[in-house]
Amino acid sequence: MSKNSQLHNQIFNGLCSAAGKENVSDSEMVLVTYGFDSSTTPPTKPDFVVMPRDTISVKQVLEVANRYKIPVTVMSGGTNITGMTVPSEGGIVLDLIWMNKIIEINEDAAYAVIEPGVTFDELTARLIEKGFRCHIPTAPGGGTVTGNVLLKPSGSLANRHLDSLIGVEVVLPDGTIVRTGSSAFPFCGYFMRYGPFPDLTGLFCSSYGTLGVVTKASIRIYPINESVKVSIVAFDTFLDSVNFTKEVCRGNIAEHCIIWNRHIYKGYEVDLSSQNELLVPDVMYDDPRSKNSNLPYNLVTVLMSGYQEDMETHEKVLERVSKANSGYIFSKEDIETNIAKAARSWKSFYEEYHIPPMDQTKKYGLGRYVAWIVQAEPKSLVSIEKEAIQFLDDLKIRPICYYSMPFDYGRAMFFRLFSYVNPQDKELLAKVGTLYQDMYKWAMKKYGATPYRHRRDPNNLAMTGGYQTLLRAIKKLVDPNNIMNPGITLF
Amino acid sequence: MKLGINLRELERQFSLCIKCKQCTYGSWPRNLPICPIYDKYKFFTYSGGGLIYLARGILLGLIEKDHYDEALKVVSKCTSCNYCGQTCKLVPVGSPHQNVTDLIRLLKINLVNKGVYLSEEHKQAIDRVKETKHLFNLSYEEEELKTLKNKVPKRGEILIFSGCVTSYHCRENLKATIEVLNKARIDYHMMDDEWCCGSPLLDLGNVDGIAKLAEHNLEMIKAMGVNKVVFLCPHCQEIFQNTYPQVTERKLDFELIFITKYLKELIDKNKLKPTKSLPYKISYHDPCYLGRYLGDFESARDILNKIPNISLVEMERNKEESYCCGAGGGAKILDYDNSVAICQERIKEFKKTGGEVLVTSCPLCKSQFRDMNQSANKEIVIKDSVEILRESLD
Repeated sequence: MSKNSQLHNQIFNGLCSAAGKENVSDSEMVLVTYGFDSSTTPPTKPDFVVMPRDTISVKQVLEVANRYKIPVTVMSGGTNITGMTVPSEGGIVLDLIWMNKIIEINEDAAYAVIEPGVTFDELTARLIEKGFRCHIPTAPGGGTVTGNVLLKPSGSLANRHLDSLIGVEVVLPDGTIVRTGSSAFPFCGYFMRYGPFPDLTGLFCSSYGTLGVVTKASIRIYPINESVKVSIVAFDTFLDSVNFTKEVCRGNIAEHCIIWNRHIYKGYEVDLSSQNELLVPDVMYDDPRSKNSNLPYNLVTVLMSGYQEDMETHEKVLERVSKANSGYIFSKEDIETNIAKAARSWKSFYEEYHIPPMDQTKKYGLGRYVAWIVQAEPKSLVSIEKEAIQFLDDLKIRPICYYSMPFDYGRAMFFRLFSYVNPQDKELLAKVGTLYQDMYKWAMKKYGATPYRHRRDPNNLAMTGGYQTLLRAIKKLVDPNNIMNPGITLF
Repeated sequence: MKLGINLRELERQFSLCIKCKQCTYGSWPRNLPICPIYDKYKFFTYSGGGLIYLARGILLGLIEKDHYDEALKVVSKCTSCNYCGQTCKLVPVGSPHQNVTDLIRLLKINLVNKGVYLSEEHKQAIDRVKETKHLFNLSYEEEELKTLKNKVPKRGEILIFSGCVTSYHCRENLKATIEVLNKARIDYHMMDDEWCCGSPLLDLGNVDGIAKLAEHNLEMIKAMGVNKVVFLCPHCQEIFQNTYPQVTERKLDFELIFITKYLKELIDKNKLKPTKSLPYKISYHDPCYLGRYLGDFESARDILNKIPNISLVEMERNKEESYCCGAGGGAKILDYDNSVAICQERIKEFKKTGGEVLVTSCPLCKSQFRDMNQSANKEIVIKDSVEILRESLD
């Protein structure tokens, strides 16, 4: 769309009326910076960036977009590393970052109602004052809570509570405002996910802004227990790590666990001041499977919390279950000698409910982050881990990092495999892209694993038969002009 | 910061930013807004991360050459307060160390090197510094300054480097410094022909004139045989410390120290005794260049705390998380309205403390506050920490 065209000006004016002139930009410089992120997704400049301040503005912006049939890509700040908010079809970027009110913290019913621009740092700061906490993702505190929970979070409470989301307020593409769960009824709060009718909250999870714009979210919050402890347990095989994790989670000893591999936990310790930052540090260059290192194959961080008396018992049980699975608890000395920085970060994550500013991702030769993420049953994941590492090793890629965690008491396991590729090595980047696509197919066919998130591959939805038919029918109903994030190629 | 570096060499570093925006707000759990331009303009573009994306946009060819002036306009809103430089742990890498603020400065330099200027005043200011060796259009040898300099003992191994802003816009700071040092019976010099330190060139994005200024100033220092240089402006000290060795390929063989730190040492050694009671309610504004660039948040506070009866009240954003006055990064020349708006926000914060005197230690901050104060009917008293110290000496 030409910037000075009559159509452009009409839309611009319409957006200004909807959201306020100061919240709309078509400045070339603003458009460029909203047109790409740190991922390999090709850049595309939007035509407008709009930052609404309330639900009514969102409704009016969507009405303008629908009137002119222009694409809308929704974000709440856009903190991500996988190209999810790149406006690949141009149009409007709707950045909700300044809709950042914490509307309610309900201590009685243990939920918080927030606007989509509220960040983890903002919410956790307020919750802590009241003796509460919420799930924390392995992501910076500047990321937004709503953006995260709508993407099916893999955070600090996903073992016991899986999903933090109770209900949402959504503006549909035609401007209709919908509330889900208990709040669908007038005069009722957001206290319960499930009402007497089908659960529509889930419809908007993992929909990537293709079905509407979430303008409020109700999320579960939890009291901070009397005693909190983080233990670190070492294992020499992934199988042992997984078995241990399942056992301590199902036995209600651990509230949450994360399994880290050596390349990732060593990443915290690298001191870049003494080496060339363009090279992969030596410690990241060994074969992650080698036994040469005296460092464990995996470390498992275990969060336990409860009453003081519980903790004393939990610690004893933890030691017993560790031994039974051929592991051992990392001592204070082990921690100080080998993983001091990692342990500090994990402590902050679990005990202070806050991720400190992250720096470890730059320690891999300033490479471009490339990730492969699946969810699978525990036993399948053990096989997947072995073969997936081999696939990356065949391409001579280093480092090979992964972390894994249980969902829903270990019924499913999350597995994020990633590496860092020199962004100037276009050939290798393309090879890794192709490899990952093939690996998704392989993991599904051989091990029944599904991709964790949609990766702009339209074939994924096409595989789902009746599910696809229903979802497409819903999409057609709520967004007949297909204005909502068409660039993500979900539909 | 490595000045001659090409943006292309930094491509891999630029691509590390994940738009987390931690460069814009203070530490958890207070999370106060600190980046003055993000606070004001709200779009991600106007933040440390946003400016990095702008640089990436240029490298990726997303910004056409005929839009470079627009890019410079956006970059020039940044006041180089160095909060992003201090806070972001993701983007900075090892030697040659380039933090986010460095990257923003390099982007500005890169654009100006391509012949892009924001205004005639922008170009004139660069030319003026290069030609007259001073930032302001005034004769260096004017009478008042000469008279003041006559009070300098002109002996010893210490040199006071005054800087253009102190010499011409905050001369009372220089006067106070001379009186305090003379009271302590310190031997020191001032240069007869002190040239601009070159910091304004860095701020205005034209760095090729810095070497000449640096060579002159270093030659003068060498000729005077001093072993310690005391700076009255943190911008001057910052460029001496961080840029002179690079542009002159010379190692600085003298100690560099800021005036507040030096005076604090004199108090500790009992050479200065601030005994006179000053019943002021003071709030101290941390200059970005003294604090976040040079790492000194305490020396001025230490001095003020030694003065009987002074009550020091902190603004909500202070020390590492102080809010900029709006004058840095050449903002007063490059985008005056932006500079004013940022300063007004800081003055608002000062007023909330109920303080009577706004004290700072940087002549640029002081002149900025004073300019704003004049247009607001001189509502508040603005002083340099050295002036306060002088008042307290019997």
